[in-house]
Amino acid sequence: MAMTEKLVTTCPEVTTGWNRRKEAVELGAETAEAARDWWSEELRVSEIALRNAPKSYPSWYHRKWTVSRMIRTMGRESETVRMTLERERALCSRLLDADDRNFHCWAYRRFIVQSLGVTTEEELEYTLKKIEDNFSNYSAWHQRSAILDARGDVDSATLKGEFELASNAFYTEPEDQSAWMYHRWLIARARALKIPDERDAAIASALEICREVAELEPGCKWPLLARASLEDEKSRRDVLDRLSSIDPARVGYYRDVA
Amino acid sequence: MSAAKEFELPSMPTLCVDEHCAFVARASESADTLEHALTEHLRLSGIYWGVCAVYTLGRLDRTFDRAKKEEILSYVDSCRNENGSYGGGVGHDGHVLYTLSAVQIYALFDELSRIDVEAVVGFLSSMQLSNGSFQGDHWGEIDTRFTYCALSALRLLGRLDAVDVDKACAYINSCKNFDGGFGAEPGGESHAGQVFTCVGALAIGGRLDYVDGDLLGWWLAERQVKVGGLNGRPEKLPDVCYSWWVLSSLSVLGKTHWIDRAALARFILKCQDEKSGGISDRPDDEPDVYHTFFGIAGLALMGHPAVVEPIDPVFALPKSVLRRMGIELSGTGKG
Repeated sequence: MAMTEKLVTTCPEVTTGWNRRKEAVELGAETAEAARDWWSEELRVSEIALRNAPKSYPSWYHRKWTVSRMIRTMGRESETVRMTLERERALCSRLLDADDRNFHCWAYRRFIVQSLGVTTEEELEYTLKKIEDNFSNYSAWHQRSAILDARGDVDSATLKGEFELASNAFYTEPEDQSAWMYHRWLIARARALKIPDERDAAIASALEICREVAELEPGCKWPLLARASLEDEKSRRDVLDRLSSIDPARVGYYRDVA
Repeated sequence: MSAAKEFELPSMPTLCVDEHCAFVARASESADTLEHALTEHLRLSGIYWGVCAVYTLGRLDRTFDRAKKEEILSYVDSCRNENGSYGGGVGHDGHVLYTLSAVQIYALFDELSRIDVEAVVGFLSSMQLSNGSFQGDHWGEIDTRFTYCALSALRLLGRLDAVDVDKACAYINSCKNFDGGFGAEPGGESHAGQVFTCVGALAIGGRLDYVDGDLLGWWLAERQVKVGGLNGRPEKLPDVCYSWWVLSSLSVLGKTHWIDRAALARFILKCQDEKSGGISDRPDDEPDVYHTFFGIAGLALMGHPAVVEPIDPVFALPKSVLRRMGIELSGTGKG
């Protein structure tokens, strides 16, 4: 184990090294002595590896494998497992404070909170905090959309709040694409609303805000892009023409959607 | 103006074909360097990148003579494990990732007869799980990259029938996100590299109808940043490798004209080491075989005249290799 520790902490991408550790754990589990507290070592070693290489696929997987095995062998209700899961959740928060776009850590965090049975509301609260810390945190916007989607149909009251959140972001940082991409998804969800009045009201209010941002930020392409999907046929063409001139790299796109 | 015409303009840097071939040849010789030791676990992928790069430049035989070619193939042979899988290097455990690299290398050298097809097919099909996903090896890591690797390798071997393709594609669909992109697992954030593997797998599985082409095409087009290069996720730095991951996906969707191809080509060419050869992630960084291949492959998709062998956006192999294998080429719209 000392040899593999050296290998995986110096060169964490070597999957074979992690595999030897997994084999040793499985073999060791047959004797009661070695089976006691086998997980601490695996969590310690993978943490060293992740400190050096926070984006190492095999290190993250080793950690997930370790925690999964704890759950499988000891049960989710075991005190040790719950304490470990809580510690892991705290570790994820620390790592996401250091790099809020690390998608490996976001994925691992999803696994941990799912194992803990954390509520949807609590998770939405976490994404809100991460978004408010940094409006450019696309990973958090993504996570928020995934939670809302998994919860089922996004209703008009929820949509209203989400439109507000996106607007707050692009009033502050109009050039940041994260909130605008989320906004495009909100428009699609608004169009899917079943009650026509609610749908029309949501679209009309989104359009009004985009027109306002476009006036405040005449050189910014994002409010125009949103308007292109909301305006009537004639205004839409004008908007796409303006987009072609301020964002010539994507003129092919603007022509195709016209 | 199309990118192909732009390549003739005096303002466009030249692709340093000779230097890049020399760079790949040197990389395949330098067994005693530290870099070589640190990358031993993915040697098979490294060989695929290097061999495919010189192949697309029309220099396969000039870069690797008969003896060198045999040396490479024997090395690949020796990475084979008992269960039919291939490890990234000799003595490394087998994995879906490197099993595809091995098949690709044999395909490039027209040496598919060295493969024990039944053993490889047996390994790959045993990696599919009941929900349609693929694990990378028996330790259970699941990732849509592995679905692509398995489907691509099986298609190259003419044995897609060995797995449940519909279920595999449905699993990929369950990894689709609000932005039209795909993640490594359900709920995983979209990433351009992951998008390539998911779009590629769906193309191989005949289920591109799962893709929202307008939404995903737009998200991919927004990967282009001011300097012309492409990034892998919003608000990230550009990197030459995304020239391939993004452009190949756009190519499958028939939408490469949704970005400024000439600006991208210029960015890639600026990342060349014009003296010693090789392409790096960003201008003035250290080149490596990975970025060299993906830079050249990106230029291939844009019709660069010096990349004489057109490349297929789904299999990441030269079209002539696929034709030789009797594989129907991916329909790629007007892009």
